[in-house]
Amino acid sequence: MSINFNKYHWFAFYASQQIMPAEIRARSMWNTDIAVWREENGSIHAWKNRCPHRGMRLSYGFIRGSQLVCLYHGWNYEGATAQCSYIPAQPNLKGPKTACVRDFACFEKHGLVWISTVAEAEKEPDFSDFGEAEQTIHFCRSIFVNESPGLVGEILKTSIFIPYGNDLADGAKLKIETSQAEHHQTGANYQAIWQSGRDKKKKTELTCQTEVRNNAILVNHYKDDQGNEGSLIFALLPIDDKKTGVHVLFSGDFSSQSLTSAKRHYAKWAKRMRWSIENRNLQTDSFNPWI
Amino acid sequence: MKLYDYILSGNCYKIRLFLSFLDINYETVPVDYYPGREHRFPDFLEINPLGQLPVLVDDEVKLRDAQAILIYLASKYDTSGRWYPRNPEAMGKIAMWLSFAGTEIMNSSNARLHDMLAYDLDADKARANAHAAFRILDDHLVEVGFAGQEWIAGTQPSIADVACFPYVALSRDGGIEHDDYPAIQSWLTRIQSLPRFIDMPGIHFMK
Repeated sequence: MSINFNKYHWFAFYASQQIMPAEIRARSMWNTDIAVWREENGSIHAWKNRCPHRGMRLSYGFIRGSQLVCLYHGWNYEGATAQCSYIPAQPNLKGPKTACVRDFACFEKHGLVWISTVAEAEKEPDFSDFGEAEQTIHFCRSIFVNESPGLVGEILKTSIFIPYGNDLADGAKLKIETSQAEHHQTGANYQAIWQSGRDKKKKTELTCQTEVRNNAILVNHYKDDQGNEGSLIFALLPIDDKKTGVHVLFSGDFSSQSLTSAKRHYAKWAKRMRWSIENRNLQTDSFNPWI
Repeated sequence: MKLYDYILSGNCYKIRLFLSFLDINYETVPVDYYPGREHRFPDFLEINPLGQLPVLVDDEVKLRDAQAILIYLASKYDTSGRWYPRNPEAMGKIAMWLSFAGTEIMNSSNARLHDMLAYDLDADKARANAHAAFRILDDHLVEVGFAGQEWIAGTQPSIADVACFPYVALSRDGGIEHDDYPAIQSWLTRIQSLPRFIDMPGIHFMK
């Protein structure tokens, strides 16, 4: 079983905070090498990561003002038009029209750069009911899993998330009440028992409802019997058929100290999730990072 | 002070970079590592029986091993004390990452030696091991970054950052891209932006 991806949707490509002005980053989406970069004034662009001149990865280059400069022969490309504007070896020649980089639509929202490789992409994804009303969305981290996007999506859809506030200390165990599980095309409902690592007698009942939105965005509303509740959001990036990017976000109002703890909590969960998916052959209980 | 040096060696660059950070004058003794294999001949083996670069000679002190040289230089010449703070926690953490630089991260060097200088090494295995090491470093930088810590072993750059930097930065010479390690990329940029940073073939200035 695996979820399907629709190429007409937007995909979360990179964390905004990881591309500072005048920086270039790159990775693949569906086997297409894409460079994402900021002008010195902060404007963001997503381009095919290939110089039209000799095929060099543009992400090896550098930024000057509003231009990206290829490292190989120094050809300049203007951010707004993706058109070659200057060739150092031919200073009197206006950049040829055919020397134009393929550019992709992109915008920033919720701490992520979203891109689409098809011109007819649907309108921006609907983020309106992420989390509880008025709550802020926080970026936790991007994590890469060596497994196919369809399978990672399916596993995340049916995973249990441990709300912040529960103890993730060593020795903690998660028992999934599979009889309560309901899978369907657009999501899954799950119930589970969480046993604290520090106090074996302390058990928490968890309820998770996962909703698959736009195929590439999973929103998980969780609740436990201690009053902790909130939402986790996974924005999936299909890298190729063997690798998947997972951007982990969560909603809620936190003090700055508890926000740091919450990020650590979900980052710890994310690492366990990655291990669990990549080491499925070692597990009897499927996809449970806390067996 | 004399540094037995090869321009393309990440471990020699590590020492040149740190000497630049400390603003220390020294002379280099170029060793014909490739194609001459001078480091495998008796004259050099008297200097370092392991046949490895770099070697630092400072008056009566002769040291091999880039990590050992970093400890020596920081202890002797860093008047600020920030590159190798003398407290048990910092020293323990720094030793841990120096060892990581000398072992796990060297998988990246092996892949590069195979691809650039045609060394007979298992490059695919080296690349897989380097990716495993980079994942550990990226996870670490993500986690300490939540509390605002931008450097490997503390709130200031230390010799742990200098030790890990070159073969992470040079890994693309060995076919190991940084695309999956955004926290590593930001950390590389921070190092490249430090005052008195110097470049080498394959590692450039930020601006």
